[in-house]
Amino acid sequence: MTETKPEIKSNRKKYLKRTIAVAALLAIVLSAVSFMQYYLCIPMTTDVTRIIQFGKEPENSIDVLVLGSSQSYSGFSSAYAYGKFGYTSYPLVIAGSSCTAWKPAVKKALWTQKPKLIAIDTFGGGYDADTVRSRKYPLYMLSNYTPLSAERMETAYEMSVRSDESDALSYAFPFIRYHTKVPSNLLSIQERMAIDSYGPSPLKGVETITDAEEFKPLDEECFSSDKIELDQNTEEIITDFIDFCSDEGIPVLFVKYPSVMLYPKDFNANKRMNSVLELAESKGCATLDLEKAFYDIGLDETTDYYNRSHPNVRGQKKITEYLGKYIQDEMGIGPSELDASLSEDWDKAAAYYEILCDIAEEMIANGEVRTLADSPRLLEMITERAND
Amino acid sequence: MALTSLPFAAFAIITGIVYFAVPKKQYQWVVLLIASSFFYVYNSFQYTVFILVTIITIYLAATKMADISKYTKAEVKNHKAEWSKEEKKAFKDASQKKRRRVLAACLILNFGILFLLKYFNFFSGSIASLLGGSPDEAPQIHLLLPLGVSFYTFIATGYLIDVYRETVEPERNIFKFALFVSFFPQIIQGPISSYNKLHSQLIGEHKLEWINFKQGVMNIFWGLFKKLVIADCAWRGIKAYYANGGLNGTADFEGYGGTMVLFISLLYALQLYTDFSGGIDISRGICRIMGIELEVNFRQPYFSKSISEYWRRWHITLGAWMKNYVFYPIAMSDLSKRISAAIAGSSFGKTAAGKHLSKVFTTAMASFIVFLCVGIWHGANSKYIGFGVWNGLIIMLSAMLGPVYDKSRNALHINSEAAWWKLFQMLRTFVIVLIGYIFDIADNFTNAIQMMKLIISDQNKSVFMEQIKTLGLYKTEYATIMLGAMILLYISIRLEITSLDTPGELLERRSGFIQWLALLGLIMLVLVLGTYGPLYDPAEFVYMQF
Repeated sequence: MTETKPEIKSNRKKYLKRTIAVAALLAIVLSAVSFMQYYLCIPMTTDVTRIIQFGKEPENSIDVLVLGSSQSYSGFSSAYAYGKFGYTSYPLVIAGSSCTAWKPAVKKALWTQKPKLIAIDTFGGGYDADTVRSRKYPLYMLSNYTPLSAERMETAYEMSVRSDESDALSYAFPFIRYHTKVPSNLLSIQERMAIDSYGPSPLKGVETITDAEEFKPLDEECFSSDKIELDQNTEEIITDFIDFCSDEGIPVLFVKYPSVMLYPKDFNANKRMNSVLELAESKGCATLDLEKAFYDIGLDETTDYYNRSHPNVRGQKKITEYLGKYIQDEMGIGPSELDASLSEDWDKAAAYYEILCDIAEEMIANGEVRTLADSPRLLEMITERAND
Repeated sequence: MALTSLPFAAFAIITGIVYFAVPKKQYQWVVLLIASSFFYVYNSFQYTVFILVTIITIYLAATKMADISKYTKAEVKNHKAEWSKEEKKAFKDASQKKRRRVLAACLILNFGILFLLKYFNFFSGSIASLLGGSPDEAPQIHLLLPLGVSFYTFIATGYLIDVYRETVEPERNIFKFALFVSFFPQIIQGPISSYNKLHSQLIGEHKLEWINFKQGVMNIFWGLFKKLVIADCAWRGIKAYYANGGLNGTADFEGYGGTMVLFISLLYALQLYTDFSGGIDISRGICRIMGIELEVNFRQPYFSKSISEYWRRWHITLGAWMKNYVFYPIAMSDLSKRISAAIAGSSFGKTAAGKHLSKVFTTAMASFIVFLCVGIWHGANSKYIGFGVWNGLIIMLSAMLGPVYDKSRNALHINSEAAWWKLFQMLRTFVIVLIGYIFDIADNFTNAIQMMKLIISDQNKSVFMEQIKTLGLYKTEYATIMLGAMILLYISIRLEITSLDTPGELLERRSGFIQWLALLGLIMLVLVLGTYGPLYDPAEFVYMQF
């Protein structure tokens, strides 16, 4: 039976309506998933804030990209370094990152910045082979806050090759991994959206804990030059990272941050980090062992650390001064060329950092142990003091 | 390639597109055959030979039996005038014997393969134990089970028996028959489709229909909801129970208490139903989109008011297979008739009880044997035999003690139509089912009995609150299971009231907006609360192992 003209017309209308309905359903689902992936999948942490705030920094305004794990954001203050040496920097750092996160972090940074130097913390290469492979959380965070693109897919594939190939799709779409966190993260959505509501933060990714633990003088082994051979996967990851930076024309400075080593696992990590430094040197990179310079820096193990691996604001200032000067003198990074508005922002950042240090000192004195990191609340507190 | 995996989704979508894109619709079945062959070889490459043996032998046996039958009829017709009635009967009987021999040989071969692969090690070990030896020293076959071996063996042998009974015409095209046996949506975990309901649909021509597409998609997501949101989340808790040693205890605690065992049993009841029926919903949804209607395998089984009703609502196609090919042959056999007659002829048979027993004894016995087979079908372990015996005993006793039960109810003036009574019947049946499940959960028969004792004698809330932490589920996961169970309960009640089979059919009565909204909600629930991705090790479908 052939269809009549009105029937054909009505059928076409029906098909069109259905096609629109299916497309609308897909669009709603995809939009909802994208929203949840960006706002609700990864729990609200100081790392998340740091990554989001990095994305807000004006294009090509960061001269030194600080990478690595928690040692680098607790040991180096970008705002303080700017105040002292005049160059801009930012710690694009996620706590506990292994070296698998280095290259993805640089790739992410290169989306908006053209750094003149990368200062990388060797700690991520000091993990054992299994940890290097299994530290996936930082990779997901980097992936989650990178715009969807062919390059992100490529990076996701690289991430998966170095950890677990079956995870490739979930690196490209972290929703696959973190979807069940959505309900529990609903409570933090207000805070998450609040962070999106203002521009680049004057706190510049800083983080510290207001405590001062008293340690004994450093063991001789802390200064050892002994090495533990890197496993093949770790060595390949680091070599790949160096080659990538070299191809991009960015010099890399490998920094071993100073810590108070106490346990065999600390000493073993130190030995692996010595191997990282050796590998970096063999590939023509600059290296700096701040562990050996512990006392030259002026660090005091009885007052400058909130735990054995991380300095408090006192230690942070001392390390920043030492490392910052090294970057200026040895790596040739001079004051950044900024327009008036940016210059004003960074001056404000340097001033705010001093207020943050005052707050931290007060809290240490009062025995009030808290994490101070980029957040709307801390920013409000500092702004109030600054206005006073 | 699990039914809930992305590769399977891609495979099903590609198959669907090619299926509808084929220019000549009469070749659509070829697409399904290629897809099913690819699916089988991809998932069970090293065991493909077993399904091939089943396809070839059953195809040959069925055609042989049909040929004998055809020849017999033709000969009888040709010699209509020459042969006497006795000669015709003798000729027919001889032919029937030949057909029976072909049937028996083929069934022995195919069930023999199933026995060897699935049960040999168990029986060999059990015989060794009986003879005082160690099961480990008994001869063993070291093979994994071919994908869907129990399902395709039952599907194919059911067809063979139907051909023998001449209720269906045999399929002369071996490739079309191969499609019937290996059809990919049902090979993993059923349903056990009957030839006359499925085959013509498989080889028929189908256009993409909007209603089928809509209903199919709804069914797929409803299945995914059951499987990923409820079953796999619950499975994480059950898995932890097993990992912690179940009843055997671990270094952390002495062993689980009765409340915990009861909780695990309830969780298992929920998990088993949602896992199995969820998988079937996905399969049915895929088929529905292609215009193929797979048989319903579940009808709200936990609303059953008796255990026999439960088995008419749970794994319906297995029940139907057992009824057609095991129950009836036993209940209608000469032996059964002789036993009934013997009871009726005895002095006991003259009493009221004797009269009742003479009527129901053989069916009760047949039921018991059926459920013993159902138990064995589930696996080679004493716990499955215990499961079968338990169900068989209950059904057998229900049939035999029916009048006593009716009299007691009347004596107590219970209105069998009262809502509270129906609810009580449902709860009573659920408890009986749960006891059966305990056989499933336990490692073996002894362990199952121990679990039941604990449930009765060791109820302790504070111990339970401590032990539940060992399951390692987060509060949000318990909330997910609760929410999932509530939605499931609501939909099940609606389906029960309306006598419909799927939530999609329920929604057909609602406005288009509500339908789209429901589908959107279902998709979002699956996406957000579903157990998938690298954080999870998704559970394989429980019935896949059978």
